[in-house]
Amino acid sequence: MSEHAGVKTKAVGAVLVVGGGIAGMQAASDLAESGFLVYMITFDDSLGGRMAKLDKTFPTNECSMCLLGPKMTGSLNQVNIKLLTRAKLSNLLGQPGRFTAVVERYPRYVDESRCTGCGQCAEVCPVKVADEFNGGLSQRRAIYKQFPQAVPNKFAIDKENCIGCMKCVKVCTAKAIDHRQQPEILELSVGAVILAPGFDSFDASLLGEYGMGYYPNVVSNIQFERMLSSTGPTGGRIYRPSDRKIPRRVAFIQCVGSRDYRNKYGAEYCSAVCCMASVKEAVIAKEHHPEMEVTIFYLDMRAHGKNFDRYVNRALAQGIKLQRCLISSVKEDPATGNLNVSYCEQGEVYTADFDMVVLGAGVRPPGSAGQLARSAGIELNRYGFARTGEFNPVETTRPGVFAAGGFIGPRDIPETVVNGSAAAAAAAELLSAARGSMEQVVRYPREKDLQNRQPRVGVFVCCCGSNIAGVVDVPAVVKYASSLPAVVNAWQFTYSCAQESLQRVKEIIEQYQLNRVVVAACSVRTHLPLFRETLKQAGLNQYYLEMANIRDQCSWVHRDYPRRATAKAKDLVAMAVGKVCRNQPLHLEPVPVEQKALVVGAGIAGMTASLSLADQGYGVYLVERRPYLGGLLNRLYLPQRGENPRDLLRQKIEAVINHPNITVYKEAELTHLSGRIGSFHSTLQVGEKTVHLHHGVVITATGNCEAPVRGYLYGKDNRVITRLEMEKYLGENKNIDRLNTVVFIQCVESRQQGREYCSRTCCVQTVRQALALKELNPGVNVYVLYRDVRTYGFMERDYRLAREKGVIFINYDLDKPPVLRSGSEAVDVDVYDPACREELQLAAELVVLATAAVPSEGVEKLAGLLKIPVNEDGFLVETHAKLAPLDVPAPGVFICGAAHSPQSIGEAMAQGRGAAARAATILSKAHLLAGGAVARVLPEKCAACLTCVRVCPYGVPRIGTDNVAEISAVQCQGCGTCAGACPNRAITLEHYRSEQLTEKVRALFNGEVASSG
Amino acid sequence: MGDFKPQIIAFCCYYCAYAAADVAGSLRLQYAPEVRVIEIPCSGRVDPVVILKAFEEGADGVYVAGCLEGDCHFLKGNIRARKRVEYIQKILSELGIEPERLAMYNLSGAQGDRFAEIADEFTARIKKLGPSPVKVGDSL
Amino acid sequence: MIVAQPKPVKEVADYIKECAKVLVVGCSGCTSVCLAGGETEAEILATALRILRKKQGRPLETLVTTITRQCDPEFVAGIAEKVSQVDAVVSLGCGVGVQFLAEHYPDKWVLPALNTVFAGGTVQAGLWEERCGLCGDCVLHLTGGICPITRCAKSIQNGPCGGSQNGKCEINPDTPCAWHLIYEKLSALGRLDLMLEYRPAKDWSKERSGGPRLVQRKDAEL
Repeated sequence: MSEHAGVKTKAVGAVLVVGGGIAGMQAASDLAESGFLVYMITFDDSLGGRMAKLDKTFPTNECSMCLLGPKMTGSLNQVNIKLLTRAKLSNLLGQPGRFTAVVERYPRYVDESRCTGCGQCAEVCPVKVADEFNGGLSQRRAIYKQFPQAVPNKFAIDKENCIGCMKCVKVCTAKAIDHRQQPEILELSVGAVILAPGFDSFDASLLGEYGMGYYPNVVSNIQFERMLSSTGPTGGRIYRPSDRKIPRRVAFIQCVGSRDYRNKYGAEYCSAVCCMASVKEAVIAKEHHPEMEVTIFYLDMRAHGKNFDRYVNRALAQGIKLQRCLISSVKEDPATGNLNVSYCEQGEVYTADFDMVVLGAGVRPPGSAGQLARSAGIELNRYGFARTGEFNPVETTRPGVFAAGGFIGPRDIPETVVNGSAAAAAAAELLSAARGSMEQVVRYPREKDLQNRQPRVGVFVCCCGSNIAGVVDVPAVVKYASSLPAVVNAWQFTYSCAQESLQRVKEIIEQYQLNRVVVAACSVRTHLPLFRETLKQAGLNQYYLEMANIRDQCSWVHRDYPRRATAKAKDLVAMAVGKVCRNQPLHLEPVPVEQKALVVGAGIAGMTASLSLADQGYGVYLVERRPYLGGLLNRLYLPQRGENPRDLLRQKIEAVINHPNITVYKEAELTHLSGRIGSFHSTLQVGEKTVHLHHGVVITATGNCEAPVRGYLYGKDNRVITRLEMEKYLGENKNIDRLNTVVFIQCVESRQQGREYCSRTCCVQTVRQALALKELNPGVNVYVLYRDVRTYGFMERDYRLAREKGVIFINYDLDKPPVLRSGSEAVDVDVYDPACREELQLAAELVVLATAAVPSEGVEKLAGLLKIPVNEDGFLVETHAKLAPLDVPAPGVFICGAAHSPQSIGEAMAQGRGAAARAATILSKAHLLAGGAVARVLPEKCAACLTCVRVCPYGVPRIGTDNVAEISAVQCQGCGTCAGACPNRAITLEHYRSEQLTEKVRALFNGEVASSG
Repeated sequence: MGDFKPQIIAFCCYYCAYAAADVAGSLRLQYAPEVRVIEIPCSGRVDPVVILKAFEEGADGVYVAGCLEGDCHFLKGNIRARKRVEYIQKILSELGIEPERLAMYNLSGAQGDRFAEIADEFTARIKKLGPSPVKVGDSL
Repeated sequence: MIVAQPKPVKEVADYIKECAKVLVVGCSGCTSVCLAGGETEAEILATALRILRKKQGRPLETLVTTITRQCDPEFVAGIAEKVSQVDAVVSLGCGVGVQFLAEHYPDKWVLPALNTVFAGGTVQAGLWEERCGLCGDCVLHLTGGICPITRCAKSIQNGPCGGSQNGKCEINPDTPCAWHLIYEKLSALGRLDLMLEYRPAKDWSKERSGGPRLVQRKDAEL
């Protein structure tokens, strides 16, 4: 904190985020939600990044776009995120806290303030080029939208391919197209920079042996993913590019361009996500085409993440075949287009024909990495990714410049999201003195009090150029609307979202004394915020608005039935009018926030979270059950990629103890918690004493521990030790030179029935320990008995070095685990080696067991107290496996570190910092705004039946001291599940009350005239 | 019966079904024009009384569309919705209304094609069943 | 609480087939908690009845209200205005509620919409189980808190009987034998001595076979 003290006095409360993918959006929203102004620049036309190209995400098969959509619109609508598309960072001047970022902005040739996203321009554009978004499998026009759900929902021109025919200009009635736009250079004053430009995919056509680029039926994993997508080039069907037939036999070849340093095109590292991505693609493809036979050729199945092994096991049960073999080449039969692959199984060579081959092409640094590094003044690592610390994965070589996501190295979505939050926290630590200094707060005129007034509804019907008017008879809809009860009048707009139309709406509201508004135009998903804003500016409560979607859900989808589309538009308007008359003004009420955090667990994740929040200026109560700080970090000795965990431990403990904002409670346990987000009251048992604390958030960082081992002679023969015991043994370096043979056994009592998951850190740790052994005693024989070596990402290098130093890796099968016998001289280890198909006997003076990581004892009790769900393995369950890895359903509670899932020091630290960023979105506010469309209890009707308590997915309702249900408006997420389930209609979901919905239904049938057209 | 134009109400959750309807629009997928969407924040909000009232008013068919199971934006609202729909289906059969006139669908927010398919599929189903017996009356 | 479940709609419709207008009365007490008779179910029933009658071409008019408890005369009295407007009253209270309504409005046709089933509780969301036989002479202090009257098919006082097999009741293999449970519980509590005690026959005179029972509290009388 002190090191930034000089900077803070004049720091700028704004941050530049480079990249509009999930890492950039996460960082931007965490910062914008906690009092900073964010400039977000992306070179793309839309937000979304790589994730927008994915159909589904592993291991939950969740729809990628469903997760991304709300995130993208959220970023666009957040007033403190200024989005610039087609922009790049070209220079970064100044010091941490006060940078000047020079940004070059390239023209879209489409005015974003005018474009309505209607797409008529693309329909008339005569140019067709390969659509890179779909991996070149389809075509797009020279004027185009990157993908259907693009945000902003605006078109752009690809000038390189544009022929300048001006057809688009003629057809655009919104006058949005401007071929004369010029690039501009902007200078932005920011305090910190976050680089999140994502990653690229390896171009597999560079490797001749797999036939990519000249065998049509060899496709990349991204092309395959796009085919799976319902909005992709094939509408979710898998076709062979050569004959558009559905392939029956499909092969996936893994590690294409990864874990491969034979030639200049390969890369030494593991791409970390391809194994799971291929298994997922195989599963989804089989869902689409059940008759499909899929074989995945792989080296090691790297399913090292939360619930990944279970996912792979399910895929196996669904008939996906996994074949461990490196494929050296693919040959095409020119007559059929089929592909022949040779592979090795149990020492025998087989060949097989496939109809299609999918290449698991690896991860590469983004194409812009070199330019970006030069502009931002940071160093890249040996592989061309951003150079960051092992323990501080978001800090680049230049202070004040942070990195997140795929730019740091290959990683999956949740890690990327965690990085985004961690980078936001890092920036916020640096700029905490400037928090709020640049934040924009919007002010509105005083709201008119219209309670108990007769509804006076104005209906605005949009033509959307000819998008609506070309199909729907808009004047007829206007006429019909003005005839409806309570409607004062109806108006027609060419584009209701145009600035001048919005101005006109405000004038009409005033002139006609309207107190309710219906806009019949497009979707609430894209335009509700805009029109609500207009109402607020006109002094009306924003809930006095209803929209009728007569474009996306009417004119666009019933082109061939104009008469019936018109009838439907009338119905939709009548329904909206029916409901708006029943709408009530809703207000957000401020509730105070106690701007302090409770952090449970003082391992590395908990200490990192505490320090980040403390550096951001918030008080932290750090609770530790043990008499010492540091958790499991106390048991790690060996340097990790050049960084020493002992030093880290010492530094962090010192920082925590000396920080004026942190109060540490050792030998303390949380025994009681009440309250709500922003204001929790908790009770600690500290030795004999009871301590009461008041705080706004809770961060859980309870970590994990080594599982007790039952087998492998552990505890019976003292030459058998665990990986953590080995860590100490190597750290202390006693008698290592006397060892002749050491055997490591991986996956001990893991990845099998009863404990179906991977502990993630053991392979890496084993390889590190093997290398340390070889360094201390080069003559020692080291054997690693493994099931899959999971040295993911850059850790693959250690695996390579270990093999080069002579460490022998022997694969064993779960059916034939190694057998240990105590001998007088050594422990005899029998293991079957499938490579030479022989039973081997190893005489080891030391056997090291890679024990499983299991959640800390008593975590269920704590989880119960905090209402955090626990999974079957005992780990805490986050709100979303992908996009909310640090949040839990209970509002105001966050998780981080190994209590979430086993993870490395660097990963736990990123989670700790990330959780701090999530917490700061609450702690940075003196008040939270509660209310709006949330559930409300009518206490006089409540029978305290507990139904709401039982059905709420977030555990928000409780039966209060008055013996009626209480639903805290600030915690309610607004789903209405309780309202739908309440047996006594004692709960209403505001804005979706039963009578409002009933009225909408009634209006449809009262308007019988309209329906019959 | 050929010109029977059924009146169908679809209660669509904001995050998936309604989003899928928008995607169908942006892809210009053409589907049956009989469906009237009512947006609700989550399919878990769906109200048995409102559904029954829709039938009382004369709806020929009603369906509830939520996120894919396991994928609910609100974690498990769609599971409650399914169970509630099954409950109302039982009541409908007691009333001599074909329970198939009420359905629960699950789709992701990206599945514009599926939204269109459901609209067509359900409309075809209702056309086959004919006008609601509530409108026609018992043919005693 | 008293646990009840809805009668088939058609049955209720049949009770009121001559009526043009009915009042459907929910209860916010027990039947609301067991999800059978709260305002939601009252609205559902009213709508269902209207739909049936609309189908028959003889529209039915309904009023719907819910009162705090149908088993207290003051609450029952509160709906007099509404009762006066209708031909019949349909109650979603338990049997007590129906009778209190019928007694309070002697000239009105009052009909049950529920079957009252037992005194029990919620064992899990959506599942209720009988727990009390209302015998008037509680023995739970002797049986480790497990009621042999309701939970034993024979209500025997000195079980288990010969039909107890592997801890289950011979009547239904899904039902645990109450006396097996009692044995396990007392054994866990170290009170098996209670099973060895000789006890006189249970006093069944306090049970309801002697006609409706009364409970009186002098101090509560006005």
